[in-house]
Amino acid sequence: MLRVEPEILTNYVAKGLVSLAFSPATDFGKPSQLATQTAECAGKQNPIAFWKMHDLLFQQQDQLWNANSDLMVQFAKGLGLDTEALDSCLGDPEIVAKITRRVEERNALGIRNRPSFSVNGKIIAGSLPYPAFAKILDEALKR
Amino acid sequence: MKLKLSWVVVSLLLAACGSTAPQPPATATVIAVVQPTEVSAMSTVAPTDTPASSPTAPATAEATVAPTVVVTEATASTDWVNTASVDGDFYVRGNPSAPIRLIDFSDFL
Repeated sequence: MLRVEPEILTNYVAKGLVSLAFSPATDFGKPSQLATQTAECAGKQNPIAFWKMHDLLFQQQDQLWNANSDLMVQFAKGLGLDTEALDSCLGDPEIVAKITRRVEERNALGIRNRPSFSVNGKIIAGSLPYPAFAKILDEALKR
Repeated sequence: MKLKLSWVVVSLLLAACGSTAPQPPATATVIAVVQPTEVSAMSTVAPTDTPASSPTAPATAEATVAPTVVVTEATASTDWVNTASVDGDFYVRGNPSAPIRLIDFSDFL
């Protein structure tokens, strides 16, 4: 998704035709969990902050393997978020439970490939080039 | 006889004048051309009065235009990319009423 997301944002989301949601996979254990918790905690402050953090985390993907909460707080600071609130949120059991619930939902849908997508409930496994994505979205819009 | 002849001449002259008399219809045609212009000019005013079923016609006319403009502007100017909402467990980016919901099942790593 990351590679085609800018085009989808410009051509579909900006026009009000598509809304995006993110369902986390935590296949890489602790680092995945920490990044997901950070995005969730940002969202707790403001829904759009979830997406700003989402974008930043993908941009800084290389740093996430050895990341700790200090780096996450730095990210939050860079986005103008309440760093203390974010730091204390990182251990919030409610957030952990929410992530666990969503991972279980993903597993229940039989989604194994990463990334995978759902377009109005139709599952698409694996990454796609933008033209293929656009074709699927255009067909869905005609329905 | 002379008198009778002059009467005929006068009659012919009068008849000749009478033949030019039908010109007024031409003038009437001109008026007819002008009139529709006036009517159409009035008809542009008429719609303002048409929704006169409501008490104040001008206010109604403005009210019918204004909301349309507001809706159009709201749709066109909404920055959906920087708009997010909460839907259940999801933070949704974009128009929450968009015809397509695209869920990305991904790992940040």
